[in-house]
Amino acid sequence: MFFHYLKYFLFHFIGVLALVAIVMGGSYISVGLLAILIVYMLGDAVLGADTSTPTFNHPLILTIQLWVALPLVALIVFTAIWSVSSGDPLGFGAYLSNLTGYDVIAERDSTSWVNHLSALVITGLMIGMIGTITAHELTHRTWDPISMFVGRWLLSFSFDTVFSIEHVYGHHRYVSTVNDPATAPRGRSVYAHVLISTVTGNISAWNLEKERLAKYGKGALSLNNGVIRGHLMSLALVVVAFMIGGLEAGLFFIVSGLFGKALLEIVNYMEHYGMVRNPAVPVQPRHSWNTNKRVSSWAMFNLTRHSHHHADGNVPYQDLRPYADAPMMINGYLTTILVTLIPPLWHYFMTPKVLAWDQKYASKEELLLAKSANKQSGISAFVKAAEEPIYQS
Amino acid sequence: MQVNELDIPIESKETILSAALRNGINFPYSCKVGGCAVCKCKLTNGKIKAFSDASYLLSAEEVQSGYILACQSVPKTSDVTVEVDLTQVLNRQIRGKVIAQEKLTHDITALELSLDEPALFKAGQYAMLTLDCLEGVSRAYSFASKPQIENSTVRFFIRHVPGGALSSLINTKNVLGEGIEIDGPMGDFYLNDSDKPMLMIGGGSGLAPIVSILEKAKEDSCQRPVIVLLGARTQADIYCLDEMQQLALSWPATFEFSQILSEEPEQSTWKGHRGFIGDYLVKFCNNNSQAYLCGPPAMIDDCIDKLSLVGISKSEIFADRFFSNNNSAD
Repeated sequence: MFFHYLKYFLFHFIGVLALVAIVMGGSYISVGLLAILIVYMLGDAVLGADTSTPTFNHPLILTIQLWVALPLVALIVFTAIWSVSSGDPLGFGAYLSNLTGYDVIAERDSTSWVNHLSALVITGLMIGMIGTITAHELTHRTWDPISMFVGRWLLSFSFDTVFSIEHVYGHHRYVSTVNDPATAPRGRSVYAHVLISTVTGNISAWNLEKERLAKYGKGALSLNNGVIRGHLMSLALVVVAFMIGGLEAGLFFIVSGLFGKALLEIVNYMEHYGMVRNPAVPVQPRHSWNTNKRVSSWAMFNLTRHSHHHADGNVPYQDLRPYADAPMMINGYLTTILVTLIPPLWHYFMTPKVLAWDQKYASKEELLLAKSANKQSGISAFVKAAEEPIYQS
Repeated sequence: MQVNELDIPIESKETILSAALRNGINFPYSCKVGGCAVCKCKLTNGKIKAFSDASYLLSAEEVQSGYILACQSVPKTSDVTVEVDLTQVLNRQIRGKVIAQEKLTHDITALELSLDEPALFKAGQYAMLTLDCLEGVSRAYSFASKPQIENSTVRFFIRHVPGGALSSLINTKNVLGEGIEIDGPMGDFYLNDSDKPMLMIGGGSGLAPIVSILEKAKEDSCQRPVIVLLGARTQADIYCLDEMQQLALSWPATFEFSQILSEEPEQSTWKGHRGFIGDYLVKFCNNNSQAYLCGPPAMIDDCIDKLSLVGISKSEIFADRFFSNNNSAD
């Protein structure tokens, strides 16, 4: 049982690895990035699935472990900003050099641009994987003020505090229908999705807040508006980044935050791509792409068990069930993320998967929706399939 | 807790929606995270704790007049009562398809369906089944699986009635992948609260609601002793042996499964009971038992007579008579 608690500390371990790599500077940064990619991708490729659902008698440990993500992400981002600063903000480098005898400032100053780029990627990855994914779990706990506070600050690193509104009150309501900003229709590329979903998600959150405030007789343009408050939190972080390390550091933070936001939209893309749902029917496990790959499930504490999450969104992550019969994603999360980035490869894998979904899971009403989705996809295999007998009724 | 004046048990920290669904109430819902307001209902008594801010969804008037979201509300006091409009969802018709078809005996086939959404019913109830390829023909069958909120797979046992349109098709032809509609739940046959030993009697395909009830009771940590009796003609008519064995293994009290064969050849290898169930009831129960019977009406009526002789009052006997549409009894 001890191990089951331990396995959900995998993301802390990865976070510390990222931290050490950035601090050590030079090619250690790129090696660290490579190590992180290998842990996730090779791990998922060879370690198989974890479908266990043990009973945790001390769920508070698991909750605090999620809260720890906030200081961890803050430290990683600070270190990354420090790594592109010209001075030594807060004496961080001097302190570490004294402590370890390893001259981190000298290493930093001789770091090449390629390795700085690796630091940017690592920071973006950590903002996404430690920040956003944890925040997703926490901001579902609308009844717990601490979790909501930690969750929204985690989201502010990727300029995405609106997620805490749109995701719960929008995405979960409309998932796998055309009204959901985060569900990618058949044929859309991941690059288009990142932009479209970001814009429409923000609009949706704004409208949700506006309508809520109107019920209290209040206007949308005030600090009562969670969208405005949230973006101010992000703005505060940008200002702090500029103050710490100047222009380069500020820009570095903005880019890594946007990278983290893009990562979230990529994950949205692969979690529901091409699915259709009859809006009259409650959300079912079949309306999400699921995976039970071991490393992804541990590091992302069962976000991978997405089918159950959408069928019952208030269930804490440790109690989500694997649903081995649910529609399955291509592979673990990081591997699938990389596949999305190459659209022809993505469509090569996913077009048959989506068509098989129609055959196996779609209800009669959903087949009609699927038919029109096929026709509008712009992908010849989908368009051709729309003429098949199962879609005609 | 009460939903529309119906008392239902609720566990600590359980939401009103979850308790209602678990108890077979067709409570309307969709997203379960407080995002859609399909499960809105009026709190008419007691206090609740809300997980999320319902004012995202409900109008100011609704909030003021006591409307809450059932999926986001946990009772804080034991006197909670809610009112909900069930007219939209009473007798919900659900579509699905056949995902497994397995012969249990020479004339009983187990049909497993994957439905578009979970069917809500009390273990022991039944539904009307209509296959797409046999339009206009709908027949009543008891659920042979326990109700599950998050899983939309259900099972039925279909006994071949000679001349019966639906049961003949299912027992003789491949219907795998076939579309189907179920309409339900119906019936008032289900487990009643008590500490008394349970005597479950099934004839023909009558083990279906019994399996459903027992699986559900096991999930609910039922501690009552159980005796299951299957009435059949010959050894070839016995089914569910493995399932009953599995149930027996982990049942916290005594659990016995016996078969009583009425037409087993005398010289056969059968070492069990022969004759009619009614004749064995004295052996298997006493006046403290609570009895559940399902199967052919003749068998049920005979057993009820015998149970009365044992001293079991009518109020402790529950029966579900299986009628077939073309009057071929049994």
